[in-house]
Amino acid sequence: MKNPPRILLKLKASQLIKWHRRAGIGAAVFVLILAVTGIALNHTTELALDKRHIDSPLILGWYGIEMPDQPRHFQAGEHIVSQLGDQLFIDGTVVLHSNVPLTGGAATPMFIAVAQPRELLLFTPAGELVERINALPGQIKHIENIGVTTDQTIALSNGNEIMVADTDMLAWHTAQSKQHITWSIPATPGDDFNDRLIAQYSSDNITYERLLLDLHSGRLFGEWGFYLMDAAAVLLILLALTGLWRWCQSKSRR
Amino acid sequence: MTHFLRQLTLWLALVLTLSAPAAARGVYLPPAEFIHSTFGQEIKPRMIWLSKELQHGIKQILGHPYPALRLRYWHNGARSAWILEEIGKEKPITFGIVVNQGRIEQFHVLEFRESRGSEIRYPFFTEQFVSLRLDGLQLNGDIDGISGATLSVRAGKKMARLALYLHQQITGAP
Repeated sequence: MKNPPRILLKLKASQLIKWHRRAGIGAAVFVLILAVTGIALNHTTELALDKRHIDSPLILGWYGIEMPDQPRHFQAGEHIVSQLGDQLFIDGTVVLHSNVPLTGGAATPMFIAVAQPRELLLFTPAGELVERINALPGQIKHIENIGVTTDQTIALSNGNEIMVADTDMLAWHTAQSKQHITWSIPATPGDDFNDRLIAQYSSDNITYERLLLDLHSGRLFGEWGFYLMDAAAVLLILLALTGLWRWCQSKSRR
Repeated sequence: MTHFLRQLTLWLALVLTLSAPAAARGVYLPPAEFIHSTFGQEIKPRMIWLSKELQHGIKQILGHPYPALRLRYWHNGARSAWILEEIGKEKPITFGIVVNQGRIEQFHVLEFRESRGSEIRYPFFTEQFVSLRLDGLQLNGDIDGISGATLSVRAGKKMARLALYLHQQITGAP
């Protein structure tokens, strides 16, 4: 084998060891991060990292995702319509993303109607979106409340006018003065239910796989994270080179 | 020359509108008003259920099924009016489209919810759709795009095609 360049041989062994050690210490943390995250990412499927979600407010906050305060609920017949952040739930299952605040909910045998100020959302009892009604009836420009009549039809109110739909929700007429309407009221389903919604809300965001990928690439540490990992890579290269030099020197001495 | 002038107008409008993107969001024509101004009278909506076959055709236009089980429309004589929604970049844009004898008669942006791209609500853009019809599942004419509003323009073109397709379905006309 050809001898190493003369200049390399001139380097004192103690200097080389010193720099090799410094590079080793400097790179140690990054090597650990890269190795551990790398191994974990190699086994994403087995560890179900792409299916498990982060629910730590600290990490979610790091990503700029703020947990909304508390869900809001409305009783819609036997169903509960809820909203947490931009997620809309029926009986605890996400059915739509919308950050427009809810006005209320009502249920007929055919539909679950969810009211937002300028739109009425119709769902099947199973939670499938049937239709978004944005051409509101009569003089109703803003829905203030939603209710259900004794005939099991949906009623909307803007505070002054009450309009009642037919069973198909196609035609509307002004409510009769004596018509009894049960208006939507807020519901309080309890802490367990709220916890379920919060768990679902967080499960819609960051997976462990995403977190590990961002840690592996340095993206987690923001704009400079990339450069930090670049620096770690340079340290590793230095470590390899100084190690090789050291090996070459010791070999030539022998 | 006409093409050049149109392009110039599009660029000028873009420069003007980019200066106030936050003001772009809003309801430009309430849906109920759109229906009333189209037919000039109270007209009962009709319903089209989006069956599997229909959603298959819709998917060819939108690239995805329409996210609802049914759509209401208003129909009088040879005219039909549609209120359709499609996501621009992140939020839905509400369009009001009137089809008359298989051609687009009116094209409106009723509500725009994104911060960028609302230039598509201006007549210089919406009037390009007037008189267009379907050729297969494509529009039979070109629509000039707007720089910086590519996704909104794309959503508008898809909704125009969808309205024409749905009109074909309810009238049975090719």
